[in-house]
Amino acid sequence: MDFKEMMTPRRGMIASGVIVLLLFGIGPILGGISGETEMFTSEDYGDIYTDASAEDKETIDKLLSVGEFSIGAGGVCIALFILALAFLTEGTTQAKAALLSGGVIMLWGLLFEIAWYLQDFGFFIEIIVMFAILCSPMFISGALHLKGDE
Amino acid sequence: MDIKAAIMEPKTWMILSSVVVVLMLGIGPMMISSGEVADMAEDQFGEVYTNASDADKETIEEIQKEEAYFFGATNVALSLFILGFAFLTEGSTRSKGAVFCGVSLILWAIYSQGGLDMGALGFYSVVSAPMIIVGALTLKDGE
Repeated sequence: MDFKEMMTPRRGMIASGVIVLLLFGIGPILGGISGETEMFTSEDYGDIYTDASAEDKETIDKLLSVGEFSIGAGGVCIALFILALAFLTEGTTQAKAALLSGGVIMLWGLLFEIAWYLQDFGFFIEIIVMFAILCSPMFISGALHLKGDE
Repeated sequence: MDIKAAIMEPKTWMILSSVVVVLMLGIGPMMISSGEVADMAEDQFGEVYTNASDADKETIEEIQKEEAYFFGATNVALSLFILGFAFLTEGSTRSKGAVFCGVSLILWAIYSQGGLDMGALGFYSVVSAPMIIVGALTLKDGE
């Protein structure tokens, strides 16, 4: 079995879809449910959180959990769209769907990056590289099969 | 063009829904004004925000803005997937795609708010209902 045969768009989309589901879906959802958030932390609020009363701290903790849970919900939705495209399409359409999915995930990552940049958190090239690695199975498999099984 | 045929075509509703979602819930939250951010912060944080100093208010507003941007970015991504389904698929696959996209948007409306926000749920339901209905009605076409 050669590389092209092994790297079908469906396999590429399943691989990337499962990673998105775990990394941006289940992970943040579990963080939001447990109350131990990692993407949005009380450190973001600095003194507001430190000086807050117990009641206010509870409010901030709850909002942090909801924020992280929302990101997880978005991750799950996006992963489901990738998996649905993988299982509902065939042939060259599936290859195009793989390229589209990769492109959308890259755009999603870029928009996140712009959000952080606009909030003066700096521009993290590592995040873009991480998203590119995440999408590479879709891009490679989609590009390999774009003209069918020629 | 036959209007009845266009209405009974899932593609029409998928394009319409994704354009509405991109404009109102994608680009809208990403371009949110400082006044709207202040209203949002007051709604969510209540007294924590009202009693905060100007510097603390700015911190809260920045975090609110970031969350709104994330929400907008995810809506843009979901809309592009819906457009992908509309243009890449045909026949009964497209109908299945329309039902899937509609149901996913409603689930996203429920879970993105961390609970039942009737305003958001109502909006997404109105946007998704035509896709689900037309998709379900044409599910057996072309088999």
